[in-house]
Amino acid sequence: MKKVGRSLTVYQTLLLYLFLFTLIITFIPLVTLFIFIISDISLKSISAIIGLSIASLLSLCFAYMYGHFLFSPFKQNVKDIDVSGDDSLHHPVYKWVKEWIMNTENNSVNEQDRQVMELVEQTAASSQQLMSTTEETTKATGEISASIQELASGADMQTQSIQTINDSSSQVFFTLTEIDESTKFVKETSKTAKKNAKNGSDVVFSATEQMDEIAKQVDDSIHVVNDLKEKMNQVGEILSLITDISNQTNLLSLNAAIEAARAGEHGKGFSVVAEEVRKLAEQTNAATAKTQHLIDEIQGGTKEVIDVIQESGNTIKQGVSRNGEISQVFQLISQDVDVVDEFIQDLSEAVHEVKENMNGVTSSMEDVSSVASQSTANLQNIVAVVEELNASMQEVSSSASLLADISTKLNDQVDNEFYK
Amino acid sequence: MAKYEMKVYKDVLYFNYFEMAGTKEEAEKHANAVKEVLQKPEIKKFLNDNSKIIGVAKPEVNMVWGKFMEWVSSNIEKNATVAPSVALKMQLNRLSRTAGTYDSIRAFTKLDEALEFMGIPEFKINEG
Repeated sequence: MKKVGRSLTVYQTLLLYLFLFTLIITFIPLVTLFIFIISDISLKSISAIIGLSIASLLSLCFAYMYGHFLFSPFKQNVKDIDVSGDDSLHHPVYKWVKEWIMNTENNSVNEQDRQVMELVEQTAASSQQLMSTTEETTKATGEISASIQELASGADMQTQSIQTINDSSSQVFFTLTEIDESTKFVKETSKTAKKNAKNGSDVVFSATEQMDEIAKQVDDSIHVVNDLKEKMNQVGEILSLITDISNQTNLLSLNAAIEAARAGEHGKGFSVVAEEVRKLAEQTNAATAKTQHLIDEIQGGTKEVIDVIQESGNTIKQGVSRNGEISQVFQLISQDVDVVDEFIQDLSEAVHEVKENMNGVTSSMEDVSSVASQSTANLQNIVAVVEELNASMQEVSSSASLLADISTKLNDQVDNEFYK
Repeated sequence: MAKYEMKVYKDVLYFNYFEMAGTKEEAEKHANAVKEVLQKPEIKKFLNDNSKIIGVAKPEVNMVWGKFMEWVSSNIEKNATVAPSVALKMQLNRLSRTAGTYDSIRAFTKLDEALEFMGIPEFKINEG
C-alpha cells in the first residue's frame, strides 16, 4: 500500500501538471479573444492582431517556462538517468521516474510497468515536440513583435511627416491668404494710381492750355509792340519834317530880317516871305497834331502791352500753380507705383516660399508613402507569421490532445494500481 | 538658453527674439522687460527682430504681444519688424499702410533694410 500511495501522488501530480500546461497554453489567448469579441473589436484590425499576438506570446512564454520546468528531465533518455543515488535533481516527475526505475531494477518488470514506461516515453516525445513547437512559436512571435515595432516606428515617422505636411500646408495657406489680401489692397492702390494719373493728365492738359494762352498773349504783345515801333518810326519822320520846317522857318526868318532891312524898297518880297512862313507854321501845326495823335496811340499801345504782360504774368502764376499740382499728382502716382512694385517683389518671394513649402510637402508625402509601403510589407509579414503561428498552435493542440490521452491512460493505470 | 537678447544703439532698442514664449505669463514677462527699456527717455525707436521665430504662437500669447505693439505704436517714434516670412511682412505692411502709419511702422524680411529704415545702417548686431 505504501508503494501504491506514493505512486498515486506522483501520478496525480503528473496529471495536474499536464492539466495546468494545457490550461496555460489556451487560457490567455482565449480570454483575449473573448475580450475582443465582447468589446466588439474587429479581429481583422491591427489592434486585435497586436493584442492576440501579445497574448499568444505571453502564453507561449509561460508554457515554455512551465514545460521546461516540467519536462526537462525527459530530455534525457529515461534509461540514461543516473540512478546511483544522486539527488541533485529534485523535480517530482524525475523523482517518480527514478523511483520507478529503481523498482524495476529490483523487481522483474511486469506488464503494467512496461505500459507505464511506454506512456512515459510517449509523454517525453510529445513534450519534446511540444517544446520544439513552442520554441518555433516563440521565434515567430518575436518576429511579429519586431515587425510590430517597425510598424510603430513607421507610424511615428508618418506622424512626424504628417505634422510637417500640416505645418507646411498651414504656412502655404497663410501665404496664399496674405497674397489674396495684398492683391485686393494693391487693386485699390492701382485704382487710386489710375485715378491720380487721370487727374495728372487733366492738370497737364490744363497747363498746356495755359501755356497756349501765354503764347497767344505774347504774340499779341509782339503785335502791339510792332505797331508801336511803326508809330515810333512815323513819329521820327514827323520830327524830321518838323526839323526841316524849323530849319526853313529859320531861313525864312533870316530872309525876312534881310527883307525887313530893305522894307522900304522891296515890301512885296517881304510879303512873299511872310506867306511862306505862314505856310510853314501851318505845316508845323499839322505835324504837331499828327505827332500828338501818334503819341496818344503809343500811350494806348503801351497800356495795352502792359495789360497783356500783366495778363501773361497772371497766366504764368496759374501755370506755376498747375505745375505744383502736377508735381503732387506725380508724387502720389510714384507712391502708388512704389506700393505696386513692393507688392510684385513680395509676391515673387512669397511664391518662392510657397514653392519651397510645397517641395517640403512633396518630400514628406514621399516619406509617408515609403513608410506606408514598408508598413504594408510588415503587415504582410505579420500575416504570414500569424499563419505559421496558427499551424504551430494546431501542433500544440495536437500534442496537448496526445498528452491528454496519455494522462487518461496514466489515470487508468493509477486506478488499476489503486484497486489491485 | 535665453529666449531673447536686447541691445541699445544710439536711440534704437534692438530686440532679438529667439523663441516665442510658450505661455501667457512668459510672454508678459518678456513684454514687460522690453517695455521697461523702451520707456527710457533716450530710446526713440524699436527694432523687433522676429526672423528666428518658427511656428505660430498660442492665441493668449499673441494677445499679450498685440497689446504690447499697440503701446509701442503710440509711444515709440519709429518701429521696424524683421518678419520670419514674406507673407507676415506683407500682412504687417498692408495693415500699416491701411492705418496710415507706413512712414513710422514697417516690416522687412532683411535686417539690413530694417537697419536702413531705423537710420543705423552701420549697426553691427554681432558686435558689442
